[in-house]
Amino acid sequence: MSTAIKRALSNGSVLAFAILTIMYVVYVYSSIDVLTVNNATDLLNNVAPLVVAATGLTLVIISGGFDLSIGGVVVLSNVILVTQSDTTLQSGLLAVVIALAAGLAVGAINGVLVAYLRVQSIAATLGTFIMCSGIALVIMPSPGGSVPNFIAPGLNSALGGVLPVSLVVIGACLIGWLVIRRSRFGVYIYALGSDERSAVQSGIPVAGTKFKVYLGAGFLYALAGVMLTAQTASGDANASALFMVLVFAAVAIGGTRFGGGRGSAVGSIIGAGVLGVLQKMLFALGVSTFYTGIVQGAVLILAVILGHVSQFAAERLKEEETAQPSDESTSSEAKISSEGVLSDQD
Amino acid sequence: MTKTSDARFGATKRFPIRGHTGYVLALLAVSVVLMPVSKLISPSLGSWTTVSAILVVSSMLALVGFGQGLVILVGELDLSLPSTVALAGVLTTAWLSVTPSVLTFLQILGIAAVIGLVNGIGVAFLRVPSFIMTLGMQLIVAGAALGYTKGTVPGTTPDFLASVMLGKWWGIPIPIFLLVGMAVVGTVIQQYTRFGRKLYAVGSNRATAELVGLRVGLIVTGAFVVSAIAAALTGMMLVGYGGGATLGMGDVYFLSSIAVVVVGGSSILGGRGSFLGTVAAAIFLTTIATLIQAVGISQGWQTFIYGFLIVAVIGLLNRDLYARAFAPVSRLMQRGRSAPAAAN
Amino acid sequence: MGLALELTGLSKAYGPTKALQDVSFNVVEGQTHAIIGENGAGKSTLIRALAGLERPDRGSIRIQGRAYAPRNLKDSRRAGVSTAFQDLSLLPNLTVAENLFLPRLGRGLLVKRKDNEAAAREVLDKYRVGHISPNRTVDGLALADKQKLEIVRAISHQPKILLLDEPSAALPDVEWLYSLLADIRSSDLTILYISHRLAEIRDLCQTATVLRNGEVVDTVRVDEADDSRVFQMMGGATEGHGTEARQVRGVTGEPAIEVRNLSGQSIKDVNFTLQQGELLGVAALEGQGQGETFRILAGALKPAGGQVYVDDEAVTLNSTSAALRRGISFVAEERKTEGIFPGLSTLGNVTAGALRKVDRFGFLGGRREFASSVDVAREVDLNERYLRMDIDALSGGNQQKAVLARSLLQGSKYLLLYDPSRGVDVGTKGTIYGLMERFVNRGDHAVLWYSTDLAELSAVCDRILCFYRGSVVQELAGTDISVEALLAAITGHAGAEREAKA
Repeated sequence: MSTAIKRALSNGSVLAFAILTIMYVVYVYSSIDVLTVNNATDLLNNVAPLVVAATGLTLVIISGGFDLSIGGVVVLSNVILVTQSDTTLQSGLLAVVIALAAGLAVGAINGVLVAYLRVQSIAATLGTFIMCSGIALVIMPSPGGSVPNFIAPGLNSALGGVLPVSLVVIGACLIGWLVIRRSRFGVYIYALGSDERSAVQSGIPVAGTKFKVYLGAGFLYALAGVMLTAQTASGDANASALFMVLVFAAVAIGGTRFGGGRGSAVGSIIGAGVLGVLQKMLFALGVSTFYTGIVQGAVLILAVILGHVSQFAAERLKEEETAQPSDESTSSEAKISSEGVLSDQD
Repeated sequence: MTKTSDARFGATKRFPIRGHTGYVLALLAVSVVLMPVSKLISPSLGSWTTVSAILVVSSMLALVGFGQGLVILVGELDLSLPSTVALAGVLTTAWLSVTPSVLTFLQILGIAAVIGLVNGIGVAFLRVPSFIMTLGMQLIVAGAALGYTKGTVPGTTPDFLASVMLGKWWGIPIPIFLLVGMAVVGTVIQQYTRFGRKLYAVGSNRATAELVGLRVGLIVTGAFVVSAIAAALTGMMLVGYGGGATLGMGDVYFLSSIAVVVVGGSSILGGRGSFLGTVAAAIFLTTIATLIQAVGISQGWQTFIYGFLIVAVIGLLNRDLYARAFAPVSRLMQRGRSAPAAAN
Repeated sequence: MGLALELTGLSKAYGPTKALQDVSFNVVEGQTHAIIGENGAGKSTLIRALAGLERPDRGSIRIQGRAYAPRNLKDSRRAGVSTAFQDLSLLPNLTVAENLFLPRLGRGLLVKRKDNEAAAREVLDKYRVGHISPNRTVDGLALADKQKLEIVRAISHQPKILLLDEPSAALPDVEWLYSLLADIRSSDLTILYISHRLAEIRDLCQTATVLRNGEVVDTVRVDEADDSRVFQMMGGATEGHGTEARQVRGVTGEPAIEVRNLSGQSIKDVNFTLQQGELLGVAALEGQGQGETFRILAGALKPAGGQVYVDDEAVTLNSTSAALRRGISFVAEERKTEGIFPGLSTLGNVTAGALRKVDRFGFLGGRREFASSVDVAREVDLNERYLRMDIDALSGGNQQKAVLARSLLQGSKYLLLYDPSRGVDVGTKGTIYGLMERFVNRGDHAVLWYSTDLAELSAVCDRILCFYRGSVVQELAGTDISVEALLAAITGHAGAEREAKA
């Protein structure tokens, strides 16, 4: 492999962006009325919930954990919106506040379990996932209902007829991420995802940081639930599994490594875009809806395998870079092998 | 001196695997108490009919829990069980009712085995996290079942399945005999075969397993294959019991298959647990589910209780966790005690 | 001059292992004080306790007369204690500047990258590592630069007490470190310097405390103690381990395992031959390549080059099961992480490596499994009633016996034992020596044995390989073997020792 290809492969976001571009081109060729404003807005609306949830999950994964509670929080938020609001604006706003608060509460429970009681993140969030699914079913045993107008079609429309709300939300995620990335908190997340022991020895408040990560993620999942409700305009307590798969896939396509310390929400946002285009493309190509599940499942698995390839490329690249001394100062020293013993002594 | 300190710890073990007999018996005892108590809630409960129905439903949950249990035993998760159950159910009505032969039966199990094999290869050799791999597989298999049926499940229930699942011997439903048989066979496989022992070893400590020459990848794959086959058998039982197949027939097992294993006392991190625990938990959880139905509260409570039990049992069986949870309290107490000591 | 640091009766135990026992010593302000000791002497625990990462069970610390009981790293920094850790606590995916300023990372809500990098530039220049660019991520740095960065980071917090844990371990030369320490020396800076290199300690330190098995052997003035006395204090008196106790065993001379020009991540050109009937010792400080050598022979790691011969046959050991087929069993150093199967009974632990030998038509749990385990348990002096217990309930020594029993049950001819006697009681140590003796006396069997305890190595082995920086630097045999000679060889003083003899 040439270095250029390796470099491209090693950067998850670049890789995801390349895939997105190729797919969009295929999609454009396959369908005539793609390049209309309506169609673009529709695509943005479709991916907005995915983008929000994937941003939250990316935070958790970079910090070295995992979060299965997404599905639970999203449906919980969905059924809260549908059942707690009538057609009035006030009730709708109140329902949104309750939904977001529920997301924060679940995030806080996850945070306490993982950060302070040190339960393995998958086990803890599996438990909260199931509990949330249960509560959602209690709140709304069978699918249906409706939401106030300001949610649907409100959140699907464009502000002043120009700026789609979903674009604002996606933009907010992006900006929020870039702020976090540049904050002390962001540095801590990357640090503790790559090596918790070193993070402790560097004086990073590990437990507090983890807690905040799960708290923030819970909030974002609830927000994703709100955006999803705008799409479906009804409630369904059983809709969690498919959405969860899409979120996992978005993160995996975006090049965030499961295991921590690496990745970016930018990649995940692009990953969500890939999935959105994929859905449109399958529809445009006339693939039966029966088979979309198969494609989504396969994409999820392949994305993770592709991530391994990308990581492998990144490691090889690093090896090559370290192998050749970059300036005179390193070359004057004895060469040092990677495990730490001098292979050349005077 | 060493000897006395060792002797202080626990009783000698009959089995080479950590026993948790007391816990398992407690689960069963609670179930047994709950069954007649439920009579107070609704007179129709607590009768032999209800109890036997609980046991029949438990037998299917126990079987799907057997497979999930083996996967959890090696420290992984299998989220593809619901669609495997459904696919096997669909194929049972579509194929087995038309050509009821052993070959057809084996074909269906073979298809399930392939699903498990792909799961295993993805997890063990391509290093895809198991919840990702199997969740993807869940969609793929569900899609395949949907695509195959185009939405309407063909065929009917094979007669012999109906006669097994609905039949009785000496007034006792046959599935109850199956449940007892499963408990024995499953326990033997898990605790008294080479395969089972290897699963414990891999789940207990993967690095050590590797160093003593166990082929970890193959063993993990094996767990997924058995899990998928158990799910397929469950699908067949469901067809016989319910009188047909639906595409959503396995959905209940998405969460309950994990709950039954964890509530049964197996460690979600792998390496610890017994199938008898899973069987006891299957009876326990089914009893609770029946109670919830009888009381007439939402199905959702059942799911919530399952989730709560998972978290509670993880905490209950992890002594370190308790220590950490109460660390602030004990630190306060210690401070109180050590204050005078520090003075001198 | 006042006391910078007073340690009184510091103790810390992990289960049955006593890492620190009643450690007391004082350090005068402005001095550089060395802590000397073998691996496992308690140096790291002491450092972690001072850094706030480990709470001692008993005892107290005072800094400049004030009580000091840090609960985390932050507390220690606030009290003016700063640490450069041996296992380098840098985050590989963060930049040099970010690593340098963790956890504060400057003022304000956002991390100002440019400002940080400029500030880092200043710090790096000031401490003579200007060639490291502050905007690079740490994983791209050479190991020596990582080590320097770890030290610079500790110094840059302007500590009153600086803890340096093996600061020269990865440095190709000590010039940089010497000049840096000369720069920052002042009457308010006290340095605790941990190293196994006596020459450095003589150059840098005024006083030294020698630790052995978690206890203080003595605190001495460096200029008053000569090398042999220090080595003796570190290794423990060699009483009872006379050379006459050693006898020539039935070494057949047939090669069992032969290693030619083996190289890998941390080793280069390793050559040696293990003969049948031999108990070959390996001596080394931690991380000198002996671990990788063992793992390559066990089939758990792949070598970068070189050839391994087993029974005169060139072999490729690409898995542990391949090595087992060649008759090689490996016992790893970390009992907890790579030795036992927690949750399984001792019996299950013993038979896990040889299930085919103890089953009956694929079934286990019967009399046969128990009987064959009893046989090997007897060989390692493990009471058979322990077999029915959970392995977690056993003491470290008995767990180690079970692990050894497992490798015996595998029926291999060659055993690779990596520090089997670490952290076990004296009785178990004796059992392990006896086991190894009997094992090699079976004729065509052999043992390759690494130990951190030089006294036991020199007492038990006829031939010992000394690893240093990834190669076998010296091979000691017969009457040349002594704790002092081993210590000299594994700390890179091999040449000097030989000259002294000549």
